[in-house]
Amino acid sequence: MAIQNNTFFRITGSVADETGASQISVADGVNVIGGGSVDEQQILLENSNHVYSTINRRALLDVWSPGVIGDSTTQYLYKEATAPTVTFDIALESPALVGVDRFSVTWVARYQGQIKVDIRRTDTGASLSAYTGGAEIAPITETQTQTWSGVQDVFIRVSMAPVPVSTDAILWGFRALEDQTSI
Amino acid sequence: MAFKKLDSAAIDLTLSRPLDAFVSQGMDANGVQAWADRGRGAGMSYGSDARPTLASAGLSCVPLSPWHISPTCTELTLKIRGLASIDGAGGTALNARLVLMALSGVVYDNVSMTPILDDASDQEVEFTFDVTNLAGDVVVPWLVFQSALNTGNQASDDRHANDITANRYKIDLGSTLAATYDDTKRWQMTFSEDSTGTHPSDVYEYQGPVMIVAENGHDEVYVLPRLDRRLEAYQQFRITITEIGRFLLYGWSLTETAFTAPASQANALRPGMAPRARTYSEIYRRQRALAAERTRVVNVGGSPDALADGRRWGASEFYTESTYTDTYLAVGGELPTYRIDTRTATLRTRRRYRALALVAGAVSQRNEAREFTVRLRATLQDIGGGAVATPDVQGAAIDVTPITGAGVGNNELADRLYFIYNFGSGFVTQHLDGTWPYSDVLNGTHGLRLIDATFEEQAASASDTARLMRLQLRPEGIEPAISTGTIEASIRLYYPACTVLIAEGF
Repeated sequence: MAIQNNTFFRITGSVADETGASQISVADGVNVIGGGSVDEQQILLENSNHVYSTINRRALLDVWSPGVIGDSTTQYLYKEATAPTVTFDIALESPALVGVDRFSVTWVARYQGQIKVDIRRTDTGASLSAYTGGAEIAPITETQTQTWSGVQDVFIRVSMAPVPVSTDAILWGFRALEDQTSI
Repeated sequence: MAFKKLDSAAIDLTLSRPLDAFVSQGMDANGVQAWADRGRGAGMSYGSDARPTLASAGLSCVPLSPWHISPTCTELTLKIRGLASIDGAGGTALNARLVLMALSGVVYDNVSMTPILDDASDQEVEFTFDVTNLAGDVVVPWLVFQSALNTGNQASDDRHANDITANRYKIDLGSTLAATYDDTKRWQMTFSEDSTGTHPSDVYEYQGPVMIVAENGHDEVYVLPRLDRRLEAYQQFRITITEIGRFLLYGWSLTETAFTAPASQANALRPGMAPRARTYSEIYRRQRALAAERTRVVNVGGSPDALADGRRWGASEFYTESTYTDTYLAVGGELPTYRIDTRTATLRTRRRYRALALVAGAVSQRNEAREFTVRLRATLQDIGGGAVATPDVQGAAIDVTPITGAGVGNNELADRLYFIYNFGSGFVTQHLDGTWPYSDVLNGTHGLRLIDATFEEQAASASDTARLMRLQLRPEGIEPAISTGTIEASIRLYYPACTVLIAEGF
């Protein structure tokens, strides 16, 4: 049976009990399982994988403007007017403490213009993972995954640039969510 | 200890061990490790042209976001990222500390300040707090701060009673002080006997330091707390303005960084011992406790102000009868399946959110302090539009009694929250905007109320779709009654922070 990290298992065929006490019978407290049935060991093993890999993914950065409703041009997190020559400017920057063995985030952003997302290590400022999107002339919801290794203490820098001459850069919201642990 | 894998390397090392013991010990160890490694965490940032500046002549504080401390958590860590400035020479810009306020109102404070040094580069400062005795509770973490003085950048001059105007909120600095004052920095103002040593007929003590909170042009500045009436009794007095340190806040994060992990059951699962049901049940109980109680925080801090009024810490609105305002937005969804409906054999998911939203009211006059209700509405929809669901919200309403202060004198809190100065060129935030005097937090006169609401997504199946959560708040029920949509301009509602988390399961 494949590991299904999305699902918390309970003992097959047992009585549902939210305390968990009756998931495995402990009627006399000392029942000898004899190594446990295949189902029991399998479920406990899969759950142990699951609680380590899936639960409590940290929203390392989650901020949304009310202007995301309707892509407002007057309410936003960040805006930069278009010009013939444009550069990336920092829009958001947040410290983050990534979970053990979790060196991957999937982010979702609502924006127009061009976005750059940089995961950097706190101690040196060096980039661990960077992504630069394309020039978006209309509001877009984009999702990307960025991975690195070995560094928990990071900060997330989101930069924006207008599309030259045509489109202001506007960021309405950004969320970076830890990915589940790869085990 | 790393996560234990049942891979070929592990099996090679344990060829002589019975598989049952190997697997049992491994899954027990994995549970213990998950217990230690999977603390809650979330972060917040501000648009780079709308970052709050932390600076205060006195001891001030800001509510970060309500936090439900996970059971058995022993340490909460706050990291702030930003730019500290004062003298350009590495001196202390601010002193700060993290304190926690329980819902009972009790403030937990270890008193010890952390200095934040002036630095031309961005920096991160870390604060930790022992939460052993608060595990499982909802608390409000406050960042307390006080600026240091840069005595190398100060100026003094004699000023007069007729320089004070606007109900003692405004004072004319005169050209000498104005030449030193720089509105991009932060300033303390102190008072003393004038340079000629003259006295008024009745001698009073000079009031303590105030902070310059906004510039009016024409060498005039606003101050908080407002000037003491007695200062006007002096025909002439001396003012000294001194630059104070400031911290431009880029963002912050809160993370649970230590836990009391359960003891290993390795001894009970040794090779040659048939495992007992009790041991396996304990493994399962721990797994389930992690999955059910150590839930994900979706959002902290809330949203920037919906109005372009220059507010930096939290949003503010006039009381508008029974009219919802977009207050806090977050992205949730992407929840795995979690629990069953125990009444049937049918697997059903529950995607239940819990919103912990802070609300305060402030009035400009004491006699306007009328109680009213604030109600929360939740909407779930796809980002960029799409299907909209408006679930029932449990615990949506709370009664609020607004705080007062403006026009009264000593209590400066309502002044801080209420006022937005309009100089004709748009709204200008004041430098203490959205902060509380720490004394008001200690004394329980902060005026904050907490809405603790829960609601569920309606879809029965698991979804990988990110969903936009739109939390709207509305005031209602003031007496005497006013019609829906009518603005009561003497009352301001203030929404400093909100936390959204999964109510149970992941």
